[in-house]
This record gives sequence, C-alpha cells and structure tokens, in this order.
Amino acid sequence: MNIMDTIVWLANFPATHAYEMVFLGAFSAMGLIGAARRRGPSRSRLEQLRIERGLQEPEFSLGSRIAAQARSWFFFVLALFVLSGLAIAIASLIFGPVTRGYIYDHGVRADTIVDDEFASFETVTFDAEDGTRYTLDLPFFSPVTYPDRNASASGTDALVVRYLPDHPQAYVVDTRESVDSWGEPIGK
Amino acid sequence: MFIWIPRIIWLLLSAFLLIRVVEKLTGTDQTASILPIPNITGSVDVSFLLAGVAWGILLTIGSFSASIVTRRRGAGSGSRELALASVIEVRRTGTTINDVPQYEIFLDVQPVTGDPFVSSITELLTAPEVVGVQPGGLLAVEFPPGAPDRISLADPESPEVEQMMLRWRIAHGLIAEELIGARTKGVSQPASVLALRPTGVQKEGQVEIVTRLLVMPADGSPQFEADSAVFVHPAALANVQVGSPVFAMYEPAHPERVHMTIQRQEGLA
Repeated sequence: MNIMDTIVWLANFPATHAYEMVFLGAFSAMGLIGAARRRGPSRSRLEQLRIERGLQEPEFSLGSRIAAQARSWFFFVLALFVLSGLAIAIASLIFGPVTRGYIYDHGVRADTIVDDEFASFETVTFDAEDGTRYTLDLPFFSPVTYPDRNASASGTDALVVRYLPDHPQAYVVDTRESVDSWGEPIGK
Repeated sequence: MFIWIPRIIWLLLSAFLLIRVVEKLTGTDQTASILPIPNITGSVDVSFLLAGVAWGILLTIGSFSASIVTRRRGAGSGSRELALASVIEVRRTGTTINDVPQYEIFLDVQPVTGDPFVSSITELLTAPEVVGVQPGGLLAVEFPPGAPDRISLADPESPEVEQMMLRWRIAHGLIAEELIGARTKGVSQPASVLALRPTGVQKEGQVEIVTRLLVMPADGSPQFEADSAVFVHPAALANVQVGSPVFAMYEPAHPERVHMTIQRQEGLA
C-alpha cells in the first residue's frame, strides 16, 4: 500500500466536502484545542480547600491521571485531523479540491457506466480493476475535474475517471478524455 | 443528571459523523447509507454540516465550562438539614446580572450533628450584602441530608434557623452546662450591660466574655444584678458594650443563672 496514496485518499475527504468541513472545523476548533490542552486532571478551588483541611486525598488516583492523559492525547490527535481538514477545506474552497493533481497523475483510468440503472447527475459509476463497481458522489461545489479545473461534469455524460488504485473513492474526472452528451470534450 | 444529556447528544453526533466519514472513505455505493438519514450526493450534505456545527458547539461549550457544570448545584426539594457555616473565602465569578455581581462563597459547614465539611455556593450579592459575607463571618445554610455539595442559604430570620443556632451552640459547648436551662426554658427580660471583661477563652471562633447585667423585668418585679458568662462572635462584640441594651434569659426559679442574649430570643422548642 502506497503511503502517499493513503494520505491523499484521507485528504480527499475534506477537499471534496469543503463546505461541510469548513463549518465543522470552524465551530469545533476552539473546543478541540481547549480539550487537547487540558493535560491532567485539574483541581477546583473547592477541592483545594478540602485538601487543605484534610477532607480529601491530595493525590489524584492513577486511573484518573491515565484517563485524563488519554483524553488529552485523543483530543490532540482529533484536533490535528480536524484542523488539517479545515486547512485543506479552506484551500479547496479557494482553489478547488487540492488533491486533484496527485490523483490525476497517479490514478488508474476507468470509463464510467452510463445506462438507465446507474446514470445520475450527482454520481459516477465505474468498475475498478478488481471488478468492484463503485457509485461515487460527484460533488457540485467541489468539482473533481482535472486538468481543466473549471470544467463542468455530469454523471449522465460519458466520463473518464482516474482513481487511486488502492482507494477508488479518491477519483477525478479526466476532462481531456471525457465527453458530454453532445460528444464534445468537457474540458478545454 | 442533566449534564449527561449534552454528552449523550455529543456522542451520538460523533457516531453519526464518524459513520458518514467512513462511508464516504470506504463505501462502494455512496448513495446508500446504514443511517436512517439518506446520503446526499452532488451537493452539500446538509445533515453532515448541521451535525458538524452542533458537534463543534457542544464540544466548545463542554471544554470551557466543565468546571461550571460540576459546580452547579440546585436547591432541590425534600427534607433539608440546617447548619451554621463560616465563610472561608469569597471571590467573584466574573458574572454579573443587572450589574449585580455573582460571588462564589466557600464555606466551612458545621452541622449540629456530624462532621464539618467544606462546600461552596454561588450567589448574586449587592455591594451592601457582600459586606456581611466576609471571611470568618457566619451564615445559616441548608442542604439535603447526605448531599453536602447541594447547599443553599437559609433565611436567617426564620425560627427554624434560630432553633438550629441554639442547638449548634449547645452541641459545641458554647453555652455553659449550668446555663442551658436558662437559655432553653427561661424567660427573656430587658437588661443593661454594667461591665464586661474577656476571659481569654476562645471556642469555635467565638470569644468568651463575662458580663455584669442589670436585669429590669418587664413584669414589674424588682431589678437585680447578675453575672453571665457567654460566648460571642467577635463581629457581635460591638453590640455588647457598657450601657448596651441586651436581654437576660433566666428561669424564674433560678434568677442567679442568667444567660445574656443581644436580641430577644425564644427558648428551645
């Protein structure tokens, strides 16, 4: 398994769901950072006063220390993923999905299936090399067209896609080889 | 118990978002979903977006208000136990409502029976009110038996609080054995302080003084003088000076055993 393919496959989610990720990331960033920064169990002033008067054990139990540390690391990793997703999503909203170039360069070619059963404006259907049939989202607001980034693709056109061999969910529409219903190339 | 509701909602939203992400990353048919909310293709997944926003807001609120949530204590209902509490520390929480600041008051609660404990209470206090709530001051509080963290202020003027205060003073040895009868069963008559001197004894933050009283019965009986040894809170000493009007409680059969009180008090019910 190619590590770079896996990273691009993961990054392709925020890149192709940019609007959703921008909202999710923006509203959760402060909470995630706050949760990740809480390194250990904390004492309230009330607990401190109880300890001063010998009404409470001064030491935290081992379980609570481990739980607090695990919680902190969990939110640190989660914050890393979500904030990375936020950065990718913002970049993708501005420039279009940032993973398109890599997928196009390293992707495997496949023709989409357009018939009465599978044709949809919003999805593309193709058979991968291993024979598995994929019906995948064709996002309108984060167009996965390449190399013509501004080309418009519809699932009812005869499209050519390029997908990462280990992760066919990461794909782009090849605008050089795809044609619309008039038989014209969809890209410039 | 209600602090668990947002946590459960946050966990459900987390599960929803995780399932959606996994379906998008690994699914072979992205038009289908194991969730009852259908997958939206071709456009913005509104359910994912709204769930993500709610997830983020709940996480942010939970992350920064954990201490507030754990401090919140309702007055609750059911039986309440009265107790006397001395103020350890007072500090502002930073919240104001209608320009009235909120304070967190840390209290050393001393129940009539049972071990003392430390608890806290948040109250909105005006400037004149906060003067009376200073470290070392005494407050009457109430709490459900077995739930010392759910304390609330009691009405200091209520007869129940007066009775509690009396029981607390007896239980903590602040009323001499020979004067318990006078204080609990005696009559209260006006008196004046003729002289006083401290004995040097301190107990429960109160100082013992011996006062020479001129007792002036309101029923027309002849005046008489008597000594009374009582414990007084330092803050109340200003009310016990030579010439101060006070009250003397004594059993008519034993007028030599007098217990001084600053205000007219009732006996033990």
